[in-house]
Amino acid sequence: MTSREQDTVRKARAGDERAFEELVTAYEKKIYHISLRYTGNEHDAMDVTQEVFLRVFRFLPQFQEESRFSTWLYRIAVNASLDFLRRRSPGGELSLDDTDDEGLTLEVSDPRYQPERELERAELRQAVADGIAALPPQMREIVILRDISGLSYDEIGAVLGIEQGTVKSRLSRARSRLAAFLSETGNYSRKSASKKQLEVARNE
Amino acid sequence: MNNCQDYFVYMNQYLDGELPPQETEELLRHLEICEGCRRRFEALRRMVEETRALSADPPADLHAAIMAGVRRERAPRRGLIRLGGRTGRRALVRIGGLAACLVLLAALFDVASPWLGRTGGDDTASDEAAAPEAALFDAAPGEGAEASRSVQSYAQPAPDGAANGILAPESGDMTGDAATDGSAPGYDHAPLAVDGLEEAGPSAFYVVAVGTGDLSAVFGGDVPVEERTDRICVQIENTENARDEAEQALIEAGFTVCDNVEGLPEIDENAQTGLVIVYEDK
Repeated sequence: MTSREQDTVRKARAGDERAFEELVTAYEKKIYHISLRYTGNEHDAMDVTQEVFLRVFRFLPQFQEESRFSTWLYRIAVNASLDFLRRRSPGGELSLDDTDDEGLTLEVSDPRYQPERELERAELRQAVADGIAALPPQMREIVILRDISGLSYDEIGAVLGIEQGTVKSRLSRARSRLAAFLSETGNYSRKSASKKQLEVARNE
Repeated sequence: MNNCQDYFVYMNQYLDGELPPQETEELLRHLEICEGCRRRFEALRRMVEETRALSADPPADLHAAIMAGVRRERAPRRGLIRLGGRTGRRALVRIGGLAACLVLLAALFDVASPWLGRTGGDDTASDEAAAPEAALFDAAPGEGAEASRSVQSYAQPAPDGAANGILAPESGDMTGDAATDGSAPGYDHAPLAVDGLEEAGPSAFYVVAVGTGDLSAVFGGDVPVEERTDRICVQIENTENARDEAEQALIEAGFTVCDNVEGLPEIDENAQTGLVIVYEDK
């Protein structure tokens, strides 16, 4: 947390509404995006986002700065999203098979990616969004936290309360599952990467 | 490290910038010799890239909606207690503040009486219309000096026949928001002075109720009853809708939630707890 943000958080905690609004402005888009990926639709994402900031407002006096504000906020976002999913599907969705014992699927082939063909790329992106929505919740959330929110493994571990090793393996399994989804829905072709492409990857 | 599945985990770490240098070298060496992994790596890289490129523009009114919700949460609660509210998660109950509960019994009794017909959702207004106010409590005026004095002093200025036991509005409609409005016909009560609650410390809201019922079913198992009186005070955590939920739970349990209680202590919307004061109608 930057010292400026720390200052803002302290002011907000002391009841400064303008400071609180600054925090809302800084994070609302990210929280909305997280909620959108969790819930799968804009209307619910809006509701969950509002709920997240209400919880932040309510519990801010209890925030002791033992973690970064953003970590604390993301944890609230994750919990609010999960609460929402539980309400929407009591005893259903969250109990789906998404344990960490599940093996990796290595049926990952190339995405049909050619920069000059924007339409296909848009289709692929939509397929990725659909694939994330189709992931079991535990896998979905780890992809969201890593690739949507950009959290490090450390931060993900802190938000979800899991070990680094679990972050690593769960993320691999989640992406493997996502890739399998894309293959099944025909968004990957079977073209092999050339050594030249590998060189490009290596140099990036 | 010798199987492709392990290297797939490495690929993920590599793309996340979380693979240490030595393992990175190992991965890249493996990719040189394993076409299957090379293919997987490229696919994974593209997929992750697309995932990270996902974006979402929130609705234009998101910010305003968030802040409106926060301001509603922050807004000072008025002393006027309303009935109703949606039923939801039961408020976490904390017990305490018993010693601070010194609301005048008879004053409450008088204020509460018009609402008798609304307990438990039963519209028994017509029955109550004929009942004298004293029927609310077994304690007749005079049995407790404080109580009787308050009843009389308050009953005097009460207009619209309330003091004469005419408690039901002519319309008979005791449900809905209109009934919670202190200005509704038959509910024009004179101001009621309530004191003695300041010692409880700041509360986020106050709920005052009378009646007979199983309080443990409303607030959990350990609700203490003040020994020498029939008052019970319960502090409930100040969460969203906690007040509405407490009121709803009381009503569902057969209690009468009192409206138009004035003179309650200042409300501190930031307080951790709200105070529920229940007068038992034994």
